[in-house]
Amino acid sequence: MKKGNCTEKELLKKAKEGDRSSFNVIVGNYYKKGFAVAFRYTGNSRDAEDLLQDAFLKVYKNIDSFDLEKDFGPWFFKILINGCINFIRRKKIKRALFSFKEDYEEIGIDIEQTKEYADYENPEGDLVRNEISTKIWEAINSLPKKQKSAVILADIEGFSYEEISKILNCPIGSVMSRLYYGRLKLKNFLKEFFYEKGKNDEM
Amino acid sequence: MMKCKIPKEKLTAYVDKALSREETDIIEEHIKSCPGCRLEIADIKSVKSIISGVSEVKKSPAFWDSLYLRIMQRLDYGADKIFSFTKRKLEYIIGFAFIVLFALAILWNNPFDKNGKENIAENLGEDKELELLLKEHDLSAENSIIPEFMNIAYISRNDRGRK
Repeated sequence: MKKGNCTEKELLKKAKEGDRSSFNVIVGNYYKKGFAVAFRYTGNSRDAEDLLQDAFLKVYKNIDSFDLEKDFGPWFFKILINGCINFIRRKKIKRALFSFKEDYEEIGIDIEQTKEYADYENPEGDLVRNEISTKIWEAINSLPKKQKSAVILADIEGFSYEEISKILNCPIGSVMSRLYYGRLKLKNFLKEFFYEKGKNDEM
Repeated sequence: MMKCKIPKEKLTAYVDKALSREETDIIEEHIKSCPGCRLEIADIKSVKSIISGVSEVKKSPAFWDSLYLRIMQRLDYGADKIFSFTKRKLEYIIGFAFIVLFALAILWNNPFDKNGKENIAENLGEDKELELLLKEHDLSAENSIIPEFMNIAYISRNDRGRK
């Protein structure tokens, strides 16, 4: 992110002045990573794309208020992740309201499709049912949102502690803590695969 | 087992290579004699390995191109909404400003008063003539209603003229 910061700042300056083509270049620099992050939260391409579009639109509407002294990346990912978290919360509420099979059938939804793991597709776009992927998906999904965000950003998408600290707007010490406890919960959740993996490593 | 003084969060950071050189050296020295921390580090590495084993998001170039295009379309649609709202707001402000300016122009120039003045100027001569006639025929305000009325009308017009 540091590389090319000067160029990015110039682009941001022009975007703030209303230059749409400069903003388009910024979109080009972030949309792939943004999609990947949104995908980790939602588990499917369709929702990930919607959330990504929402995030860029929000950024575009608020580009005037962006402080050029700060880095654009953490600001963008913060908006994106907040959108993802809100999306998941709304989805859970919707599921809680329609908790009976009859309710689903009445409105024409196959209940199997509504279970969380059924939303998970592999990054190639195929809906998967294999146990390990599902288990990992369920494990990550079960984490409290702060720990989930830290694990997704660090372990799946490879952000540094400093970047995560800026994105999640918390001290680096909190990033360490969230990662530690998040991984601890995941270890307990994935115990059977964990020990299997451990054995395979030893071999 | 002896209680370990190293905070567990530091072990996670150690695995992630996020500690300073100094802190890293302390941890490495410590784990030589602390099996508990060695086990903790092994656990963290295993979990990381499992989680990061999740496939990288790989999509075809066609997918990325069409995704980018859809983002641009969304921005166009969203931006139009923003622009049209701003444009409408601007139109209201400009329209209101014109109304205010027009009203001020009316009050400043007071075209009705101008007409009134002209009328008064025109009528002044007539009234004066009438007054002379009245005096001549001794039909002053004291003796006649009509002259009084006309005097009142003359005075009121005169007052307007002074405005």
